[in-house]
Amino acid sequence: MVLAPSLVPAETVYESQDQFVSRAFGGKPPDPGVVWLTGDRKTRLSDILGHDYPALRIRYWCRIDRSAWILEEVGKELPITVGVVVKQTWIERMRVLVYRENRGGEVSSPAFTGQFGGVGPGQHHGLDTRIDGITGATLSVRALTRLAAVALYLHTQTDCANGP
Amino acid sequence: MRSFTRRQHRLLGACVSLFLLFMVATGVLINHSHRLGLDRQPVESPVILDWYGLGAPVGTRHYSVGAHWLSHSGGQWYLDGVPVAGGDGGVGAVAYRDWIVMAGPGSLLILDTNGTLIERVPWDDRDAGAIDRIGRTPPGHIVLSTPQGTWEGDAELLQWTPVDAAPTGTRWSGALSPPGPIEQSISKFRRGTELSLEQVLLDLHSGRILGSWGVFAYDVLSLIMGTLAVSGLVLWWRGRRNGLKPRKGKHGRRPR
Repeated sequence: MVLAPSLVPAETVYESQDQFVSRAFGGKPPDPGVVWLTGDRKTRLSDILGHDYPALRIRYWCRIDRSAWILEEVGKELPITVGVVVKQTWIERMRVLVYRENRGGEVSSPAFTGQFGGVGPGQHHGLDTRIDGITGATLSVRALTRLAAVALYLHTQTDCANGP
Repeated sequence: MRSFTRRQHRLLGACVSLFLLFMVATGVLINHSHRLGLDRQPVESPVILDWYGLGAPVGTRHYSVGAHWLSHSGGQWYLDGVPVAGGDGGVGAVAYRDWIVMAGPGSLLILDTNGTLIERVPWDDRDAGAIDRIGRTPPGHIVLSTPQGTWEGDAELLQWTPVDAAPTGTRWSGALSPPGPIEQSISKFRRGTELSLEQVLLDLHSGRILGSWGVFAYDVLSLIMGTLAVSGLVLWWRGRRNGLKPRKGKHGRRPR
């Protein structure tokens, strides 16, 4: 029996969660906290993402006015794991940690994720800046844009939103 | 010679006509498979699944957690036979508060008892090494065993602290034999998601459904169709030539 070969998606790990968080806080990350996605938070995230977030709580790290988040969103078929650092009301850094789709991996490049630096909440898909797309990676671009908006919203739900 | 070719042409045409219709039908369906949802339609027929060699899943591990059965099979966790979350491996599962904590070598999954994922906790980038056991201490804390030592979780399972050894009386999760319906449910799900209707159509269209011999058989049938095309052209040419025999009219012209 000859069967057609199955396509196994390639998973590319760019940075581990620990490395991202450690780097975000100069090598000495604070203890993690969690935001539970219930009530209005759950509804708000569903509005941003267009579907429920696939977990009931999200872990974050917060110090003074900066928070770091590890979030996941499906691009086309598989989840993209993204790390986001939010400072005050804008994104300080965004990085794709794990990319699992077969196509669209260009969103992992610093040239693309660098667009999110300095972006705050607004009207362009939840951001105040329009993010330039990548041909052939439209769904992944949208996924990262949604996660940026999610991180900005979740930051407001933590003590870090109150600043120093 | 002429009668031989025509007879052969008819015979071969009758032989491959069904094959041709079959190829047309499968080809049209494949062309529109996404629109028709055939690429997302799992094949559940045991006969076809057996034909493809997709037998009952092997390597499935089952853990009894309170009134529930947690199973890991093929990169998927199941709660009472229903898929709930992907996972890198099935090391063990324990009840904790009103949660269920499942461990794989490189991650922990926390579920509520409805099967909703609370959190997926990566473990793969710690120096501790891969998780090989998960258990509960007599006071009720969760402990993890790795080749490098033992780790105890805090109340919210947010942080893990290395401990010298698991306390006496720690109950480690171990694989057990589940009730029959749990195994059947997992087997049905796994077999039913590994093969799409589109794949079967593609294999029918290419002959691969019958393996290498099927491909050779399709080659032969294709050659016959090619022969038909050639013999058809020859017959048409001969008929045209015969029909154009000069039959001179009154004025020496071909009658119209």
